Amino acid sequence: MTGESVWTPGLVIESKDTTDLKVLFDRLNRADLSALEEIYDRFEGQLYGLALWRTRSRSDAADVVQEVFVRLARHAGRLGEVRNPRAYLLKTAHRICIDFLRKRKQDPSDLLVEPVSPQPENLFRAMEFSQVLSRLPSRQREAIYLHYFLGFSLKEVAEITGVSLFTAASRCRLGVKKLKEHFGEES
Amino acid sequence: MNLWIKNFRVPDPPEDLRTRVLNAVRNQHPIPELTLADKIWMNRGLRVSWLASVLVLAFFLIVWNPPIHGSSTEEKKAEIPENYEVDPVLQKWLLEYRSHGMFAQTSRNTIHAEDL
Repeated sequence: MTGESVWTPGLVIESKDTTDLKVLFDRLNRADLSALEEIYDRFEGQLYGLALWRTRSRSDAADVVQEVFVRLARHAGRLGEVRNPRAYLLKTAHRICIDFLRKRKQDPSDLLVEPVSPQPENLFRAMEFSQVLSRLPSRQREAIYLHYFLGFSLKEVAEITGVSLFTAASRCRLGVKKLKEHFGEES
Repeated sequence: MNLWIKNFRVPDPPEDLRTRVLNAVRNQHPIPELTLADKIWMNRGLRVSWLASVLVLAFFLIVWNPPIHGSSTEEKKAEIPENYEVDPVLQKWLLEYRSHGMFAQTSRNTIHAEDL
């Protein structure tokens, strides 16, 4: 979870304004590829997480992250005004994930979460949580990741995934409902 | 949900990913600005009108087949001056050759004596 965010229970609050990011994107718009390095350092974790949750494969997730930056480099100087750089990057990753899923023939299931504290029972719970997440439709998984793990509003989730607000909310609700069915209300 | 988020985190990317991505980025070169022709071609309306023009021109030339000035046999004959002295057989062949066009003659590589 690298990036410009700090963690509070269940919620991510933006600690820096987006002007820095806009400056980076402005540099990118002037075909200054060195800005990509800073963008990478800020968003590597978020992009990798989204790709991993969507593709369920670590190698595919790494490829997706690489492809995001390759596309940014290729279109540097022609991006236009980016209002929400963070959402823009995740939206790009979302689209690339879809491309990857279309081409993919295998169905991997790497661990989607790790325990924060490496105790054996936590590791077991992480594996169990990961298995249940894997059984969710990838769209619901993606919506949960964006909304609960990255702290995007449902409106932003809808924008990133290219669906209506109602659909995004519905995906989140259905996904969480299935998780609660498995783990119970205590979670 | 909050409990899960507190207890679990998404795995970190592989350590070599940064190097890999930045190397891939360095090998990329921004796509150059579009030329005027590209911009015009990207416009759907202009593309359709270009296609329509080609179709109209094709219709004009193939279907309607208008007489083009100086291409008919009568006009060719008119172009030859009266005092032009040439072997009548050769003249006949020449006129025939020109009126039928190249396509009729290209399959014949040699001109036999009887043709003249």
